[in-house]
Amino acid sequence: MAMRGWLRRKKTSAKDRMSRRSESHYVREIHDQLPDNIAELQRIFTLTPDLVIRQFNSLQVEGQIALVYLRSLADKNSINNNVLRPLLNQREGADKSLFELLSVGKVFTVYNFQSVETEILQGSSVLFIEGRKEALVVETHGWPQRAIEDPQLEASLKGAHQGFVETDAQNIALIRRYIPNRELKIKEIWVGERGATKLSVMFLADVANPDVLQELEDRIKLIEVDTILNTGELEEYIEDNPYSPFPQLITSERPDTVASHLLQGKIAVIVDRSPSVLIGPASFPSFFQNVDDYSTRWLVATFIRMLRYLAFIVATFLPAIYIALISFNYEVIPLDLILSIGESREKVPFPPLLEALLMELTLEMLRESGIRLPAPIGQTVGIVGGIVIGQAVVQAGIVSNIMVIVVAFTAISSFIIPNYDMASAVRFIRFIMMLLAAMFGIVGIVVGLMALIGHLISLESLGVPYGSPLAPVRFSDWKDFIVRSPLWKMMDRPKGTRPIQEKRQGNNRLKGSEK
Amino acid sequence: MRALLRMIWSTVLVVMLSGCMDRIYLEDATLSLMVGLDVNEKNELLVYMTSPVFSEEAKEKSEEYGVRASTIRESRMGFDEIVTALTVSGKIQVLILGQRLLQHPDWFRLLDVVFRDAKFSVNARMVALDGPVSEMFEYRPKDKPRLALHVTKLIDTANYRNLTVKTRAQEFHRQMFEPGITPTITELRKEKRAVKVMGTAMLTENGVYAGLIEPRNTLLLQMMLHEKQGEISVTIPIQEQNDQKSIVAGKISFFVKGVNKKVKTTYRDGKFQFDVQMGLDVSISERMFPYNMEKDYKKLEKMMEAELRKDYDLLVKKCQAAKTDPFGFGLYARAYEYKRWKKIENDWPKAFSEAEVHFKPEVSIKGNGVTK
Repeated sequence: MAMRGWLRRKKTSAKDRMSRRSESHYVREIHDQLPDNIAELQRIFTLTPDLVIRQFNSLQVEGQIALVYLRSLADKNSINNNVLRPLLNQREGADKSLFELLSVGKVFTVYNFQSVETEILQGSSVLFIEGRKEALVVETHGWPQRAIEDPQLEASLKGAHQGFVETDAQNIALIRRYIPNRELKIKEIWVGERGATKLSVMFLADVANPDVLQELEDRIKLIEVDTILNTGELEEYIEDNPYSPFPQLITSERPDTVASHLLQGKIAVIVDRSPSVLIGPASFPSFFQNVDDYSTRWLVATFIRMLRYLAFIVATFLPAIYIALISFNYEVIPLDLILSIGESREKVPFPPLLEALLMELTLEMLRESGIRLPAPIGQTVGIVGGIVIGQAVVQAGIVSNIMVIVVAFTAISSFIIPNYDMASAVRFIRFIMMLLAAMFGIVGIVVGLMALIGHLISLESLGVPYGSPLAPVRFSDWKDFIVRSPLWKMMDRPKGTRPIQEKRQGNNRLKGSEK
Repeated sequence: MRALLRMIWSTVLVVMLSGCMDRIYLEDATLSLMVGLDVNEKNELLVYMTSPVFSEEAKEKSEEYGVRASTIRESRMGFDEIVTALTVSGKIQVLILGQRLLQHPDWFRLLDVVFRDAKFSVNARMVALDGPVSEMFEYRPKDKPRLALHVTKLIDTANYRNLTVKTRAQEFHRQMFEPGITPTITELRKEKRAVKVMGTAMLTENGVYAGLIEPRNTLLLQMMLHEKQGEISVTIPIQEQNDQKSIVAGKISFFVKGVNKKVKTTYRDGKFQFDVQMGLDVSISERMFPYNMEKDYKKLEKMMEAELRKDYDLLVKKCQAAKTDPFGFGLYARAYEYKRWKKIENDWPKAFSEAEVHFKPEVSIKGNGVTK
């Protein structure tokens, strides 16, 4: 009973507990006296040494002015050249208003301290003027930024070599370059109590389904957190089935991938401060597609697609099948193979499951350790791992030759799957399958397969079936499923995303082949 | 939370399930690859078995044992007392039946376990051994792989060239129970330095050994049963010029590239009549005498047809005399003359021994090899 009580402890609503710490809700008007305002600011920003409050008089404006900004986040050049210089030095143009003097693109007025605080924390500078119950926000963002580089996770042969960076404005720019169209709309939503994160929901208004968009927006608006640090966090808050090992939304760091999905009628969420973009609704096959598919010849691309699906099956089931075959159903192994397996297993002191687990876990450890190590050390890990896996283990008689082949084949297969999240899911499922195989043999694998298929077709992504176009069957979408049919064949946008505009292109075939 | 609890609970239940009772790891199994059955002078059943040994320390690559038992399943107990690991029957490749065993009309009942136990391999090739089975299992050739593998391969390749039939246990079961056909299995003999394929053993309806069909005639039997299967290469004498001084016989060899068989079944004069029309597309591979092919190929075709018909007639006579029907003519009788068949259903071999079979080969030479 005690345990159940502990499990059910979560009774008080999140809202109550959140409100206790959200002291930051200032809905206080701006005062007309400048000293009052400065005092208020200093109350808000205690222990903030990088806050700059510069008071000065200007010829153009009556009364004292206070310029407030965060030194660390604002662009000093912009403040000096575009805000301070025109106000301090310019003797002409006394008839111009303050708005006209500031040579900055975006300037607007706010009336309360909550907005002031938010804007300062975003890197804008705020001008308070003596005697006015308002403040001017000048956009002077300037934080450390990374240059645009080749995407790391999703390398491509023929695609663009630009990847997203940590600034959402840049990322939006990268996408807009692909779709310079007025129907490309962006809805901004702020999430997070402490470090409000700007999410830009991007979609093609005349293609994307409004119901799906509404669903996505509703889910985002329900999030109550400190802050969203990364796209992966956002994904976990809004996905349909949190208990599934499968990724239900695509994360991409390639603008061309995002553009391609947007054109299919999907919706992208750009998370400020995160270099990857969330795309939904996703379907199972979309994790096996890659930008390169569309720029290689379709026959070749089809072959590679099939290879990926085969790799999925191999990576999920091969070790399990090995275990099942040599502990239950060796009748089905051809005679010559069973003799060579028998010879290589003869020295191995462990049961097949333990042998397989040992090798698979070693492989996973090697892979995981290689990811986060600096490149030079990473190579060492590879060499050590290669020797350990490849030779020493077999020579010491701990693992059989065939098992090493199985593990190597599985590893290669799991690396063929283009999406990292999907590949990780496969790695995880593999272990479940291995356990099932060790307990029930082929029957176990079949039960696992059935459960897997059942799970896949019951999954949804933003309320749209995950198994599409296989379950529900949508034959017209099969043009871009296992077969990547020629581009001029794919006249309609995929129905799986429920686009409101179905036609994608005209008949482009005639021009080339008219005889 | 509730979902998590449910997952933990179902995992616990699954782990506790008792579905893993028949698990035997490969290293705990002694895979019997070849099993032999024989009877000794006192009519006691002897069961032999050979299985591969995987240990590096062992000098021999396989182990062979024989035990005296009253049934096959009982013999497993005997083997388990001797062999290293648990005897399993899932990978049996060859099932050898001794000459003496095949004299007993009720021996087939011994095989009950083969078909009843789902774990038993029904893919074993059935073999009649001309001689005592113990000789075979004591044979340890130095220049061959494990005996069981060697014999398996021997049968498979000999069958590819149609020197013998390949009857797997399941097929044998059908042949035994089918009233319209009598079983045929591979016949081997243990020679001094090798195991030799003798041809095809004809068995009577209840499985008693009835005679041997030589490899030469097995070709004809196979063509009748399966039309074109594997490689069919026939050599027949042609009496063109009788030159006594020549050491080269007047023979011709050819590949059969296509067989087109038609059987016409009638019932006349109180007997079944089978007219077998056999279209053979042949390609000559060897000709031991000079011949003008361009002019006289029709004549050669006729001669080949006559020779084949003679061979077929002899073969049928032999089978009829032995009261067997390895061709399965009974199937045609049942299909086309059901009323008559119904009367003699229980003793088809006897009816067949009285039946008349007319073979009519129609040879057509399609190829002449790469020389003129």
